[in-house]
Amino acid sequence: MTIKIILTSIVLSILSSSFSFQQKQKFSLKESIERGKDIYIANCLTCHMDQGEGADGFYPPLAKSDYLMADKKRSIQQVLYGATGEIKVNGYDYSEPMVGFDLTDEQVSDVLNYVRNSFGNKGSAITPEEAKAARKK
Amino acid sequence: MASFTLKINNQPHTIEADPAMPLLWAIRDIVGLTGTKYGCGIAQCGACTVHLNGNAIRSCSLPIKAAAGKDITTIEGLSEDNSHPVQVAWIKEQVPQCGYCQSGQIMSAAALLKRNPNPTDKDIDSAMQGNICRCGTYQRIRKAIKTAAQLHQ
Repeated sequence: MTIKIILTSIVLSILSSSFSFQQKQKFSLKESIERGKDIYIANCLTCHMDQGEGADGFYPPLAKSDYLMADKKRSIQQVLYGATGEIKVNGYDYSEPMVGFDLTDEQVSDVLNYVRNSFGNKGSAITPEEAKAARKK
Repeated sequence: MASFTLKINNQPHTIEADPAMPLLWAIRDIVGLTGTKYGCGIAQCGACTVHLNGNAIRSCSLPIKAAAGKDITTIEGLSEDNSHPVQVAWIKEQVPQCGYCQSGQIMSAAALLKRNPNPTDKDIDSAMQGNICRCGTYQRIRKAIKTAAQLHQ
């Protein structure tokens, strides 16, 4: 009886520790995209609109955007610190300034994974670690 | 100058204006609906929040060219008799202090409840983070959103 209890508790502790180990390590792009949607609605939609279409001549589109998909690090820094100056997106010039957002590393990764995988875009995952690494020291 | 038709609270308004004029200017100064407030002018405070096709957006930063032809709802159009659940909850919980940010808060809350009828504290914080209240009525705002969610059911 005692042996049985000891064995069971050993098995259980191994199971639970390997489970929590997995949870910490695994980054799910699908879950990140889902979390990113609410962040997008609260912060980005006002200019970039609900289908990422932007506003003609004022706010650049995120939908099928060559500029967005070209550079992960640039995107992270623009979310964090904003952007000024003229940029070219899908052949058109845009110069409205964008403000930066006070978001955590995970939130930056979530919102970018959402826009990089919505509105006709498909992009590789941006992890919270990448967001952290792109912060200006 | 160009001609635009803005559909505000189910009423078409045809106006002559610069395409880059912010929607808020048109709503307040041309159409004459002054419930929507000017705060910062750069989409950072939420006072000017209205609905565009059901989504909460900052009207101070949206050119009328981009709003033309879409459904715009302002605080005046939320209900005819203050009977929208968010309005009822706001009165019940006595949310406003000075009130300046409140039409924006209410519009953001109404948009949140439309897509998420039963939001958690985290959902509320995330959806409402673009609306700043200088009086600090955040606790009552959160309480009223929960009250409104119950009234909805």
